[in-house]
Amino acid sequence: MSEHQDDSLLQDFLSESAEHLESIEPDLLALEKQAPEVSQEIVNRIFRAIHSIKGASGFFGFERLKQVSHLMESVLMRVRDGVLIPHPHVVEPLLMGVDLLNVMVEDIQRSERLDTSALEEALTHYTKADTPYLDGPASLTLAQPVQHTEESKVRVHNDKVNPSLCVESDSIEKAKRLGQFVYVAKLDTNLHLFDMHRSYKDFMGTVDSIGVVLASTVSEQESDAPPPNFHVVFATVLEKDLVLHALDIAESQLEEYEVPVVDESVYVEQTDTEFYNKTPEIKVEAPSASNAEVSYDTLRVRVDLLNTLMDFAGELVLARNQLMRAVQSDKQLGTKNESFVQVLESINTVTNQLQDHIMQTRMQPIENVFRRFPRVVRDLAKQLNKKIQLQMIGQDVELDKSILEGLSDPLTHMIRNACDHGIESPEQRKAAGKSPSGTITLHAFHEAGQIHLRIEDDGKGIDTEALGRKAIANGVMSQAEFDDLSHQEKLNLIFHAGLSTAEAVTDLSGRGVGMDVVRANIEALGGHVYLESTLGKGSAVILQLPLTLAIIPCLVVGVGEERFAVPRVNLLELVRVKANEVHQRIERIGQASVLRLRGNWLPLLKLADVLNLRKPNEARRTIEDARFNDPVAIEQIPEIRRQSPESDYTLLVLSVGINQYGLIVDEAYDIEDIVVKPLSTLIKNVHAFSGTTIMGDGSVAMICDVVGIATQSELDFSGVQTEHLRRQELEKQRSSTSIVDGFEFDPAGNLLSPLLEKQSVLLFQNHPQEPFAVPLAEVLRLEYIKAKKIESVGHREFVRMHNETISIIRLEQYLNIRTPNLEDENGYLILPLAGKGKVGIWVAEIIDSLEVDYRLDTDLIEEPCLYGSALIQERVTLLLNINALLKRAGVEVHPSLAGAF
Amino acid sequence: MLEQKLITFKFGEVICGIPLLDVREIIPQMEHTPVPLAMPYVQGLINLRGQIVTLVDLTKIFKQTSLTLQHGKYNILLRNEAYAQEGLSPVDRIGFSVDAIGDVLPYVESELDAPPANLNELDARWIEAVLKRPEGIVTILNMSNILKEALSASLTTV
Repeated sequence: MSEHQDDSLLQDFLSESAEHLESIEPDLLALEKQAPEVSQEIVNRIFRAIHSIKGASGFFGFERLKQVSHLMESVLMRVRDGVLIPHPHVVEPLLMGVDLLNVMVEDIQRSERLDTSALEEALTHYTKADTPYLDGPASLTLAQPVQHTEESKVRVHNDKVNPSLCVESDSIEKAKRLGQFVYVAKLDTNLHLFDMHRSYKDFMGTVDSIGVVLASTVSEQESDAPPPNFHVVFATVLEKDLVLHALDIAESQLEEYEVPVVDESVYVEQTDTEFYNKTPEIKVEAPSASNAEVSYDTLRVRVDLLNTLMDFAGELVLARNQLMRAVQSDKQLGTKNESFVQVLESINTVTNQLQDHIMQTRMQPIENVFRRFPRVVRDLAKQLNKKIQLQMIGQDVELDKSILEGLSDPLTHMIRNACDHGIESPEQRKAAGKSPSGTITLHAFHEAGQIHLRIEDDGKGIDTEALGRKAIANGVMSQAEFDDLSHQEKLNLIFHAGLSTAEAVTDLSGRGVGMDVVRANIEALGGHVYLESTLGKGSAVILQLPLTLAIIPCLVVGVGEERFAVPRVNLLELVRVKANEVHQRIERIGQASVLRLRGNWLPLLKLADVLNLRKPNEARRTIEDARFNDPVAIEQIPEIRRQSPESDYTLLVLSVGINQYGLIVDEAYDIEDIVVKPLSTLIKNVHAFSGTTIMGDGSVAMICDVVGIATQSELDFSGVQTEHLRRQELEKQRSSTSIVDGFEFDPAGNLLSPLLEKQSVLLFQNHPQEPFAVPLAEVLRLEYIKAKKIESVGHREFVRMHNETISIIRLEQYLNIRTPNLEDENGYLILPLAGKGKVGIWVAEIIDSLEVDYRLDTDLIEEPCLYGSALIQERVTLLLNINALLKRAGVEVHPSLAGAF
Repeated sequence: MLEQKLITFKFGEVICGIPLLDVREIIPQMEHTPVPLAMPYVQGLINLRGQIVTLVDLTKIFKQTSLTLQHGKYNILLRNEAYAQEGLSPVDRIGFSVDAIGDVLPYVESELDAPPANLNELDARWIEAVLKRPEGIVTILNMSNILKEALSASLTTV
């Protein structure tokens, strides 16, 4: 970890600790008041605060801090258990502890050199089970071995051997009342005892002879082998020089003992010159002075204040929008008054900046969440006997506080998952030819206005088959259903509430949260989760998160009279499908309409349908409704509607995780920054919306929840995807070229005019002036039929042949073409592949089958069942779209046999 | 005995009332944005000085009654603090439409009658009490029950 990271970690720890300490003090006082009845809630609160200080100080290696907080924790534990009643004498050392911790935290660099032994001792009293301190001693005071003057500095070589004194203050007072002096002698064992050939006991005897020993840093047990230096506090009537003489010590070793004031100092300053040399920048000052000098470049602000600011910023943005709109709609106002426009411009700029900065106040680096993971991974690796490295990239990416808070648990869960189930043991890794140490990568980055978080491991990946077995065993699905799933869908089983990853993938289990909870958490934050995994290579969880939840850019769309806002983060592009292209670009697979977009298939939804906005009396038939559902309806679509711009489709291409879908709206307006207001409880059940907002004109609009809309409509991405993949496969098999169905398409899925490859086509005609062509590959076979063999039932015609009934399609019924010359009623049936031999297209004459080059012209002739026209053998030939024709004729086209686009 | 005050209003010709102190504000009907797919009693949303208020048609919550809103000329906005117990969050502004606003009626508790089993085809659980006055019977609505019903229905239904 770099120094910088360490530093900011430390700063956070310090400010957090300061915050904790601030809260402990009033709680302790409350506790004292409540005694002997103790509120568990308060005790627990103090306990937690102390505990987190202890935990973190241990992490940073501040032993003193840890020691003190540990003792405080132990005392509190006994209070919590009801063993110790928090009478003032119990609370006192705790409060002192708080003070001490405060001092330490304020100047963490020197905290290690603080003398805390007296307090530790006091606290230790209360941690011992047999301490009869329920009614405790009347008072307890910290010894104060420190003076601030240069002359009186205590020579300290080692903190541990310099325990300080614990003197009961009333005995000092008593001595003073009796007119005695209280001295403290500070002695070097070697210099003052052994060099003078006397033992500690001898020395103490001498002290006793001139006065009363009040305290000594040397305990009974140590009296035979005293530590290198020690202090003795004693009361005597003798003047200082006489005492010096009696004890045979130098003047510098003796001073008058002052009753310490706790606040004054708990510092022990080292005179060790080494110390100064090492850290010359640290000035040794009286701690009270350093108090005043503490300065922060950060300021703690209440979150609700920030929220209020945010709200006002939102209002300001709204007002700005309204103002801009008002001015734009009143051109005169702008042109008349040049300076007015300038003022407006600056209001606009300032508002934007204000909004940005206020947003930033809520932003925090993702590092705040990341920082705990090195430890988590380290501990888990140890526990699991694995070698795991954690790489973290992009810690400085910033996220809204509220989102960040919600991220912590799901991320921890996924890191645990990666350690537990992802990374294999070193042996397994070696056997698989990997380096024995696994790597988990946490990568945060910006993309398309969103934050992406990638939690990747190079472990064994997710065993989809094992997941499948589990799913089948649990009755989630059948084997057949499972086999039909795409790889992605199989992976997504991990999100299924019933399927614990632990049980499915490894033997380890027993954690509270599953991936379903992770997903729920992330989605609650307005984000998405998706998975990537290759068996044996590793897996990755990708989280997409919004930057903030408060102000978001949205595209405003119109459906009928209503306007809706669609978050721009979900919007990939806007597509307009011209009315005359609708039939070429929009198709149906199963229940879903799909759009071909650059070789991809987009399932389509109509916002009006999703929101049930179409009024019953204007249930007009859309073109594709008519084409696919109801052949009769075709006649009801007036030609003019097909050509008018109103029937152009405006499509929003929206992303939902890795999936995309198209949303058809009536109108797409502008992208505006809108202020998200939460949904009222009364409409929380409408999953199609994620919030509400106030538009520039003051009206209220709903914000669409792109995911909610997809779920609500039960949009089946997988069906479309599977179909798409299957057809791609088919396409590959059918030809190595990019030619599909005999006609070529560009990468955008548009029909290309120039044909680059030779094609086999079947040429036929009904009328001598109207030759047709169909790709030979689409034709199953040809049959010659006599007119008298055609039977008709109603307006439908059939012919029986080879024990099969073939229904006959006559082109002139579906195409605006000339009727065949009826004199010659014998003709041919073209049985298309897609009709499975049950449908035949009646044609008067087969001209030829040949390989040709041609240029497709889509502009000359526009008919739903025609691709267009081409010049073949010097004649304008119509290229028949058999699939469209069959669909139009109401023949069910088996998807596997339909065209590959 | 302590005198209390009712604000009275009309659904069609039926006079109803709720405690005056539960009302935050009365505003004339504004153009509202309907919420597609919401529960039928959600009339729509209005922007009241930068705050979004959800308008409710109470008569649609009553379901079984022939009591209906005619033209909804006014909106009575509730004071959230008065209904915190029913689960109305402080930021969730709710108002309901009425056809007409009547007088503020002072009354004392002893004047109140228990709700009859069925009044104007209105189920007893929506009625707190009735108050007989020369100008007609005032049905005091049990807003607590009504809100609870509305809030729970919209939380449970998908």
